[in-house]
Amino acid sequence: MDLYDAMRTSASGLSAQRLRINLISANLANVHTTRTPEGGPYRRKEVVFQAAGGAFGDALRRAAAGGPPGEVRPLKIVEDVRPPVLKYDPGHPDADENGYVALPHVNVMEEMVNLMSATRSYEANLNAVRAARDMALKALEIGK
Amino acid sequence: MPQPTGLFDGNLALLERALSLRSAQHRTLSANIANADTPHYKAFEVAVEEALARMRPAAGRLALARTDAGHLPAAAGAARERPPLRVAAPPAFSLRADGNTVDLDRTMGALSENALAYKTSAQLAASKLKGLRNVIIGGK
Repeated sequence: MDLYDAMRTSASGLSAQRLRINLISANLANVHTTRTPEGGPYRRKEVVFQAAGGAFGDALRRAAAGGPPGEVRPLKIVEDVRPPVLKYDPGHPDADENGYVALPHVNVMEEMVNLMSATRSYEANLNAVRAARDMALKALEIGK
Repeated sequence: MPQPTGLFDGNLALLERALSLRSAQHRTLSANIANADTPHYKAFEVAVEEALARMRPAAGRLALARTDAGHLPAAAGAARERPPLRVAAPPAFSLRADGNTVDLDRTMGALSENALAYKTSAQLAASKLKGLRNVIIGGK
């Protein structure tokens, strides 16, 4: 049924945006992290989304069934390739021989803007779920 | 468009088709919203009004003649037709560099409008059936 599919699609959007918000939180929390298991300072992370059924076989099947495009799913989590920011702080235990510390390239402004965008997208999906629920309830009133 | 056959005349079929198209439209718009941040995603929509207009018997359009009572009416298939999907017009000005054509504001507007139209159709169908029941029980 279309309305159930719509709710599933919106749920995939909710989960995708939540993952995005979690990554932004991780970026903000690690704004000064200089040590990671991989070595070096923390690297800013971001998620790349993909529309489900993006693969050729899936797209062909979908086109044959006449169905609309499908859910969203996280394709991969990418690390920022920008080099770390060097800050002069000779007292820092991780400072190099010239006294510079490599700090993660996390811009708090950038993260906050991303966070707002993700929150808005989350709310949009939530509204779509609400609308689908209202429509289904209204359909149940037919024949009452 | 099926010919009016007394009790359940053509309007109910039109409402049924409207409900089905509107729910397909809702699903498509939900997919657009879910993919609002997917790179290179192109927004889709269902051409609801156009599909409904095709159900109306247009003036000058010929109906297929039936030479035998056993022939199936040709118009009956219209209600089973697949929802006509089309690529939504991309926003006129876009500052996005990721190739995504979802206009979130426009989509949310279309979503509420579509939900309202769906509820209207459901309400109309409900009133129609209520009226029929009223007739069946003789207004008691």
